[in-house]
Amino acid sequence: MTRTLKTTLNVVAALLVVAALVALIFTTRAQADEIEKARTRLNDTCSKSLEDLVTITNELKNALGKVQVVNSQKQYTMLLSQIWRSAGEAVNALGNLPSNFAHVSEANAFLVQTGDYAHTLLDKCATGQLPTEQDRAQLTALYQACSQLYDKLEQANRQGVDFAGLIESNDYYADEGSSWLQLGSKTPADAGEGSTDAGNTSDAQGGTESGTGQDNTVPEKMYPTLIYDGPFSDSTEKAQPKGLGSGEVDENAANWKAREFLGDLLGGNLTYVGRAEGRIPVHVFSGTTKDGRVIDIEITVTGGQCRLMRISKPSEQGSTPVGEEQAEVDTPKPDEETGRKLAQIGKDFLKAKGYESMESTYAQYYGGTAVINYAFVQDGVLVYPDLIKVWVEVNTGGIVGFEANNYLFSHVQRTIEKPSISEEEARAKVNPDLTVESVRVALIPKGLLEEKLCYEFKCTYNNESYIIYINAMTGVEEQVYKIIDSQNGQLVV
Amino acid sequence: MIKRRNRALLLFFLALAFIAIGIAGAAADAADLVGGSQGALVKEVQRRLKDWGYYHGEADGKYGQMTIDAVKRFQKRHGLSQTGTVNEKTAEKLGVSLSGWKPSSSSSSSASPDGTSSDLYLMARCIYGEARGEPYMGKVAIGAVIMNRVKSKDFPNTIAGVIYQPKAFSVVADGQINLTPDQECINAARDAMNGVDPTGGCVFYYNPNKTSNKFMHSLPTVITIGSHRFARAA
Repeated sequence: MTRTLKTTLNVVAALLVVAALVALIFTTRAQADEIEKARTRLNDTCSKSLEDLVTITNELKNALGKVQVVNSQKQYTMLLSQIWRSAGEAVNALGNLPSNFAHVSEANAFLVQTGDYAHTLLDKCATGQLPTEQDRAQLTALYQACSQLYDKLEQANRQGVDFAGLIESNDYYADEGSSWLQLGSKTPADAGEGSTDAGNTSDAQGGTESGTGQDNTVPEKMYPTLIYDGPFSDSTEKAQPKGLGSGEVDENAANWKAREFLGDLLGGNLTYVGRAEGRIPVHVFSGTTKDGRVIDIEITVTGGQCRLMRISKPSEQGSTPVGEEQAEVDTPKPDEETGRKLAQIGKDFLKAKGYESMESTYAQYYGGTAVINYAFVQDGVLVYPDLIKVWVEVNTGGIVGFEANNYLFSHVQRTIEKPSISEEEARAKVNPDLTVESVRVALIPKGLLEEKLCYEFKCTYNNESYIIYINAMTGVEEQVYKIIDSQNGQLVV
Repeated sequence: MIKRRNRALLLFFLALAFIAIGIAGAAADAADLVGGSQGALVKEVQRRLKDWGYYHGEADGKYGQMTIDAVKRFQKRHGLSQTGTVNEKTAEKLGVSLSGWKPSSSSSSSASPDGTSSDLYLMARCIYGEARGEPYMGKVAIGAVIMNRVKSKDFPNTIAGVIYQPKAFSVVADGQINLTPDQECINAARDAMNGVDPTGGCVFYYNPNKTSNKFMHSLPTVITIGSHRFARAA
């Protein structure tokens, strides 16, 4: 090889390297541009949500202000509706912003409870009960807290927040530093250390320059604790199960209970997984059926009852993707005769487990199984809160699941009073345009804590099915359900 | 001697530069998967091709020659032009989605008047993304956490609100939420919506081997199912 050829080769190679590097720089820059654009879009979307949140919180604040000073059912109804609606919209807007459990969840809880509380008051208002002294005091407290929240949000909005940066960071519900909304109580002393761009880190302790507090030491809760009964209230969250029975069972006793419950279903060993301290503490076991399927079963620590049992096929490694349309019709609803047979199988199973007085209500079909709901019956009254679900395989009639959480939460020995209005009187309260198909007396849940005795009217209207509940004591139309008949069974909404 | 080494070095850098361009090019073009592409989506494509017998290598997330050949075989079988790259049409046949932010196709569908079936499918997608390698109860548990969040005052009150809350689920951030779920995940979502809750009311979970997050590790664990720890708020 001559020297010139070598030199030429070297030069060509060098040129190629330069060309390649230039190309690389260009693609990298194009990429960086794309990323920058995406960040801007993300920041714009989040900023809009924050802007919305500020506006809605302002509306909420004003409605809470006005509700303090009105005195008629009409104005209470209007303003409580607005509070309920604004609170819901605010929760929505907040949900579009990066969450940090320590701070955002507090604001979320405040907004959710404010809406939920307004809804509870609205419910009472509808029957002429205006807010009590206590309610009025609580509404005032909400107004003050909402004013503070508004100030914080407005401040964050004015200073601007790098939402994209927060979303990109690796913190997940994480450290104090990554919050854009520093409020209230959950941030004690060490809040200052993470010096991020969140803006208002310095006043995490007591930023109460807003009208309400002369007290400068306020590191207490910014949000009031509300006393009321609604689905999101603290009292509901802290509700204790009533139907567990008594006496604690240890691992061994629970093992025995699980075996007894499973009977022939168990094919091999039963292994202790551990004790789970959930809302209802349980001993968890796992085992297999004779044909190698997986059994998961939970026995309550108090009372030794089965809370959950589910038999499933071992997960396959490679599975077929299923589109949305196919997903909806995986197990079509069988004919009525088969449906009745499956419901009877579940009922017999419950009876064998000591649940004597259960009646099937409605069913859904999926994954090759019927999921049948059973409600407790006392003196002919259907007790909906005491609900148990049983999974029955459509083809084989085999039991593959049991779930009694609701039953264990609410079942007690009740004294059910006699209705004080007659069936005819109740029927007169039902919208005359409906065709009543059947009537019976039922106890329905009102939240987790309250129950109401009602006449249950199953009706049709324009070929659609509805259930109307008329309070058997007061004649008030308590509840309306729509029954949706789908290929998968019945859904009550 | 020295010169020869110089040239070898030069050629090495040259090769490196081209590889770099290849990678940069693939990443810049977010739409299609091509030779050199990497990531979770490639892995998913490989997994599917492997399940269906087109691909015999490891599902390692690296789009190499074996993957190209497998995609070509798949395309041939499905009457697509054999490009060896996963474009939109090929992706559709594979049951994966290339675009990161595909709007839920069902939100406008008239088939679900009350939104429940689209919620169900969204939840199934989230379960598939978060827990496809987990036992059945581990899948139901993810759905249960979503339901528990919907019912909690600390979180948004709809299924979509909970799943899409920024920073809440990693599968939303990395696009795995757009993978097509399997029947098992759909059934798990249905069980969760029917109130099956093996977590006993938990609103958090994490994989202790994958996260060192202090907040997560500080929460009291209620139960461990498969590789996930489920926890309540402290």
